[in-house]
Amino acid sequence: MDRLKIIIKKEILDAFFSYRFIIASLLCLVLIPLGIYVNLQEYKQRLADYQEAMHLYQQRAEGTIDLDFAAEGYRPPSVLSIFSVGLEYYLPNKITTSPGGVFHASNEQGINNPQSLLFGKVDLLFNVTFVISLLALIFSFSTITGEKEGGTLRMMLANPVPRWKILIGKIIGNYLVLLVPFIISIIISLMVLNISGSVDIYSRGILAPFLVILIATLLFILVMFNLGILASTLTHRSITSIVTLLFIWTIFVLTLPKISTMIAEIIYPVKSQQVLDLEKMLVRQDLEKELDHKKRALFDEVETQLGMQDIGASVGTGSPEEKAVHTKFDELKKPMENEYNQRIDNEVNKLQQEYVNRRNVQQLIGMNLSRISPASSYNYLISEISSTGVLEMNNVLKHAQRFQDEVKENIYDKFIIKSYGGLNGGTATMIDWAKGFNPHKAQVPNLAYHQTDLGDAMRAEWVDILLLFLFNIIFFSAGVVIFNRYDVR
Amino acid sequence: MLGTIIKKEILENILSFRFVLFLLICAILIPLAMYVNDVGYQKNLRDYDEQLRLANQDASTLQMGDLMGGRVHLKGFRHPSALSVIAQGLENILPRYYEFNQDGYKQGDASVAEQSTLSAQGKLDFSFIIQIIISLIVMLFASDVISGEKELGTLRVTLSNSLPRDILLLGKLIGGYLSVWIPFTIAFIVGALMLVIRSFPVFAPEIGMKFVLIFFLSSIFIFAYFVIGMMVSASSIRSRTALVAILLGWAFLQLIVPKASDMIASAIYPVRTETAISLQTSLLTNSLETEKAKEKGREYVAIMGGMEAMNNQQQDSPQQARWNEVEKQIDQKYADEKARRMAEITEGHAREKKVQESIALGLSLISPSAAFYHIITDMCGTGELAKSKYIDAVKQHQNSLESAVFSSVKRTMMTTPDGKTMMRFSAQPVDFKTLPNFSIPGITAGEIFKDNLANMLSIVFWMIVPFGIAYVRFLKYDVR
Repeated sequence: MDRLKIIIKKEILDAFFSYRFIIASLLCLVLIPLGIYVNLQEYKQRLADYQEAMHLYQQRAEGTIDLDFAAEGYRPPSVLSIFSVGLEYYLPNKITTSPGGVFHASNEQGINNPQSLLFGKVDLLFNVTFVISLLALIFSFSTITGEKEGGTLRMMLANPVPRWKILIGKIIGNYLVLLVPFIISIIISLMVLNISGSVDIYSRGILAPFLVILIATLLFILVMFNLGILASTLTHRSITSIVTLLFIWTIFVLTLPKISTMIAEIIYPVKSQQVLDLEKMLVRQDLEKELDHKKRALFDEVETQLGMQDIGASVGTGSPEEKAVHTKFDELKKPMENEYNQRIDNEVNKLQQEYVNRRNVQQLIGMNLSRISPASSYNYLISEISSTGVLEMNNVLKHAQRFQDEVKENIYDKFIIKSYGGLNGGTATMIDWAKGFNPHKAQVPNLAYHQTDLGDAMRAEWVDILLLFLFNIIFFSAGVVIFNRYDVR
Repeated sequence: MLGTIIKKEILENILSFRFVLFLLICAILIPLAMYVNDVGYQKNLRDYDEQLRLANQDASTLQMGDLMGGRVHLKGFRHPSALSVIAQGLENILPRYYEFNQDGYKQGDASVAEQSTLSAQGKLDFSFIIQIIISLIVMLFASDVISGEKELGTLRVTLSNSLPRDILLLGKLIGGYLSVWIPFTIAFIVGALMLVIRSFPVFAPEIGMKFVLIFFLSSIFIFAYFVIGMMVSASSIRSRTALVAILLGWAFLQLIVPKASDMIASAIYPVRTETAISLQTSLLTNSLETEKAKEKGREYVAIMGGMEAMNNQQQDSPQQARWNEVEKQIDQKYADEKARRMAEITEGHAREKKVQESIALGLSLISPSAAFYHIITDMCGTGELAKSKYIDAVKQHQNSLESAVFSSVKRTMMTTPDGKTMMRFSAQPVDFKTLPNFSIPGITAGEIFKDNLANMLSIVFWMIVPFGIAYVRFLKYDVR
């Protein structure tokens, strides 16, 4: 154990006095706090927008609930988007419900700043996947080859020290040195968050996920470290080692995560949401037309049954015969309407379900393809924990559906529309509302939104945590095996 | 002499193992990216045609009743950009359509919303491969042109010949550049051929021209990065040091500057968001409408002696004529007021945004990579220029719809002094068969040039200055 300590100490000192340490410190100290600060500002802006939109909606809707009323729900921004922006800008932030039963989820954030969309955002997730992973490789590519080139590896192994101990010592030493600037910049970022006062970092909703994010990040950096050391044991010159690593890095970080979703789109195509919406509308229209036809036929039937002439649109003049026709008609049409509403609901749900299933399969193919790269696993993990990932998209849709159902039950279905039509094409409409419901005093419905919590994210993402561990074990043990047979001359 | 050096450089590079890796990456990724993006483009095109057809079908069933009920929502679709196969840019981020109604326009969904987390970070396309991947590899090639030879001791031997240092440097530059340019060219041609096979209109006059320009621009960009790599190599004694410096410099220029410039700009010059602005304008519209209704009600009662006159209107009574006059005045007054205050809000916002954008642009010019991306996305019709053209077209279309359709329904709302609200409609017939079409004017070469002058200068700067530094450093280089 003593020797291990000596090796670790030597590695730490070596790494501390290299110029790459200075540059790594500079990069970490500037980028990580800047990323978190800017994302915090944007989060505050989005939160303010959300509150203002809610407020205006309340004001507009208060006391004006009538037949035209369409309840709206707003999604609050995710606090954890300060660490990982993810899909935050693309998730729907407004749900518009409709009496028909289909909600519309839209994103009204606008295309504010095309440049930032063009280049993407710098958040903690980006900094770690792109910059710190590169730094991890720079800190590890020459651990073995460099000593060999300097001739010191031979001397070191002349001492009675097992090779795996040397390897572990090197990993621990260099890893700790890289962690120093990283941890310091994380602490500075947390201080920035704390001083700004708009986010309570000690609240359970932030602290626990943040700790998980931190652990996952350390694990991911270690994967890149082990990869660097593996490449170093596989090669005999530092320059070959770094060139190989760069190619692997290019594939892991730049190519695979991007291309896997595209490949999934090709091998398993899914129609677009717009086409789906149109299909839903067409189904609904067809069935409604059919219902309308049947209702008219029924009305005529009732008229002839009761021996009336075509009374058409002349509603409300109120002869007893007419009233009789209407009462009978109301009674008979109810089961018909119910049946059709049921059918519409079924058809629409079927289309939606089919679409969701196909999209999920496509997403799964893309995700699994990209999981060849630890960078993708890390990305999925962090964005899900930050509630800005794919799970959140499903969560939004789930909330939207629930909100739609609630509003339909509490408000839309309380309006009773009686529509009478005759053969001559005229129609008359009467509006009434259910007992105990007063549209002027009804409460304006609001969407109560809950982001996916840590538990949900962990349940969905355990694969990726496991993969990160697995990558570490594979790279490390391969490194040990190969180093045991390394030609030190 | 120069020829010998160039030949030696090319041979040495071609036989190295990194050349094989580079060739593989180029030859696989570039055609693959073009293929995948072409598939995406064809899908977008089909969606576009389908949606346009359905929207037109929808519009053809419109009736006056819909217009009077305020149920007319017309859509204007953006035609997908063909050259998005080269640079995706904002292609999937821009809304696919805008919706127009009598209150104004509203943006539709963008296709990116349907995709997963990772594709939100941007897709793999030709521009990304050049900008991020190839730039890195090119700098790797350049990292040991000077310091590598020094480490091997061959630099000393070479310079013991009667060979001026500038010729040696030039030879190394040309030879090294050619050995990365050739694989890139091959991959580009393979990609273009594949597009031809997939019946993408590569030879259409405008697209063909742009393909050539894009190839030319990419070649220059690669050259700039080679020169930067050489500058670092000539400034360092060991190629390992050169490599680490290059990597960090690359991370700074490629990954950080383009993104951070915008973030810094928004931190030092914050601008209200679009959402806040649209809320503000809708609030203004509502409050003006209410005020107008109140004033009209007051005047109506004053002139006609009560709201009962609404029911038995006599077109030719003197009161009616006077009322028409007054109504026109009130309408005019509020229209002016609205136009003035709207302009105040939107123009102020546009000005602020312009300042912020120019700060971000200025900062991003530090990196040739950002400059390259701006130029290539503008050329491909998926950049900021395309976005501003889109928005302008939307505004114009709203105006033409306003005069052709929406203004033909006049809704008069009145609020009487005792708080009752009355609504009155009058409408002129509209022919829904001849609605104005939505189209976005194309981007001209002149506009691309004018908007990207600073970007082009930035790339030229990054070609000339590093070369000068490399030259000076190499003249004083200690070859021992």
